Amino acid sequence: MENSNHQYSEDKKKFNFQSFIIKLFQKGGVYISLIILLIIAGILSPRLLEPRHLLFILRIASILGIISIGQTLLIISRGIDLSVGASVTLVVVLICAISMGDERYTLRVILIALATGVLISMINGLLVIKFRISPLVGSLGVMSLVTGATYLYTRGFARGSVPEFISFIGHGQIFGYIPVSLILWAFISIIIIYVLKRTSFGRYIFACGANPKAAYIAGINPNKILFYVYIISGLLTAIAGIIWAGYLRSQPTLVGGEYYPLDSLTAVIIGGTTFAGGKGSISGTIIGVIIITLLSSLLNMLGLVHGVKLVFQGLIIMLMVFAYTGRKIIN
Amino acid sequence: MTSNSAISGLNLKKINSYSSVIYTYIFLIVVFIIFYIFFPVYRSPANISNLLIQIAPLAIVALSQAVVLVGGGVDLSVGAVISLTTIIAANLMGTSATGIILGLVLIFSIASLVGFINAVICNETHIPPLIVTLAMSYVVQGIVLWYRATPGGSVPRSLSNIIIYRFNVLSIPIIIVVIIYIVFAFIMSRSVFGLHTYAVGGNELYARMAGVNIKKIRIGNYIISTVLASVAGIVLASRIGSGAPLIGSPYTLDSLTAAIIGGMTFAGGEGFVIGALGGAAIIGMINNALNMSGVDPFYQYIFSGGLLILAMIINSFRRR
Repeated sequence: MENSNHQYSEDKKKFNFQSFIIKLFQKGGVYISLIILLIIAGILSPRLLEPRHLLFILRIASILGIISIGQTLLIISRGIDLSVGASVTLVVVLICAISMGDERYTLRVILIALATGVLISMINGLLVIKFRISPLVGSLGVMSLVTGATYLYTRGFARGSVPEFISFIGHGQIFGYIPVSLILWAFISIIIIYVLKRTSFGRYIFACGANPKAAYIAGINPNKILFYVYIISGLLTAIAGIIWAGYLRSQPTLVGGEYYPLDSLTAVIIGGTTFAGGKGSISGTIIGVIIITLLSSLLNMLGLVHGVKLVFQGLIIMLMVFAYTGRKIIN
Repeated sequence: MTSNSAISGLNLKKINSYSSVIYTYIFLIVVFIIFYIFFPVYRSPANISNLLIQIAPLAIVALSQAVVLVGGGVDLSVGAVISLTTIIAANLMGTSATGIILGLVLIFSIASLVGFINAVICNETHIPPLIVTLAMSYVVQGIVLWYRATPGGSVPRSLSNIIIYRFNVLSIPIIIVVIIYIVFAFIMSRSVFGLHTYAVGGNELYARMAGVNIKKIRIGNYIISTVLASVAGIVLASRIGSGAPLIGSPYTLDSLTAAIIGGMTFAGGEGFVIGALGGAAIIGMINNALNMSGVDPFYQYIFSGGLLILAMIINSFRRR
């Protein structure tokens, strides 16, 4: 009896220590990973850490960053959207083809871009809410539809260019060195963090994600909240598309969007948002986005060909997600 | 008494699920009749045989997707595995018999390794299978593009001649498909492995409480999936006689659609793998008809996406 008791306390002690390490890693794991990555980057390619280059990385990261904020909201509320890459590409193509670089169309193309993003998101939301399709597969189908629409619209070749204002969003700098897109990203992040932490809508999102039935009993309509979240995510995706169009300027592209779904999911997972719903943080996602962009930039700097980059990205994604989410503890 | 009701419950469920298979094949017959009326090509046995050879790879991948879906997972790495297989078959085999055999061994061992890694990650971590297999598809696709970024190479004649050998309407790919489907229909409904797969897909917790070794079952499922994908890759490579680094990517979504049209659900534990054959035939016929009628190839994206969504909607209504 005594013996078993002793063992029990020993186990408990050990478990506590382990859980402390696990907790430390889970709370700060994303920051630790970022620091480790920065150190590795500094050793392998010191040029990467020059302030000018870091700002450049952040400018590119803002596109993925804004998409990932939408993805975080969706995953907190038990949705998911794999069609973000396709819709970003469609937005870029539409902006370039409709405006053809003409100033007078600036407002019009921005509105069209936002409407496109919201429309695609609403389709996703309707499929999930009205038809009760698994959000993963539903958005896979929507992704295929949107890609097809993009190809049909462009006939396989994107053309056109963007108005000056959109180019300013993608390329412009304030005070000579702070990218506009970075400011936009920061602004959106602050708004969303405020909404999540300080408004009742934010609490509803967490409540519906954690337990839709309980939320329903408490008088919240989970479907309505989820639909709003889909609309917000669509808006954010469209904004990301506008930034990307501004970044590409006169060279719109039909490829490149296909990496956003996995990249945004990875950022969200690294950032500590769980697929069970009701848990997650925007700040974690932001760091996750920076990690992914830094990583891909580092692989670029090292001069690896596309295939090797893909391999590394896939492996490192899995490794980091594993390191962060940890082992499955059965029972 | 309880066991009796449990058995009758099981039977009821079986009848329900069989209805999904029956609906799939009714849909297939309707599609075939429509094409038979509108496309003269569908009236000649030689072309039907051609069509079946074209559909064969999709039918095989659809089966692999179906097995994984029944077990409650999903495998998005099959497309990359197919590409990998075609590249290996076209570039590394040589022409000698030993080269071909070694090449086949290499293909199957790489495929099982990919499936094994998929399963182990799904078993040991909290990462959803969709993310695991998507990331895995990046890794495999990356290796393929690294080795060879453009289509090329040639599959040894001696291999491709055997694999696409045909006698009258029948051909080896069709026989492969039929045999594989019969074997797996048997495995899934009659063997312990199959029943355990249904159990794991239906409710992981209950399956574990009932003493099912979940990890083993999942490893089996994912290895079956990738190995079947590589079989599909070999058939595909033999048909086109060459390898291409991106040729497999459409098969990922198409196989998922085929399995879901065939009655499998994303939730798992439901459906009969035999339905996936019907689903694959429907998709293959529609793609083929789109090609033949000179419709813009870009419409294929819209059709496959729309079909996937439609199948999911019908599935969700059926379950209510």
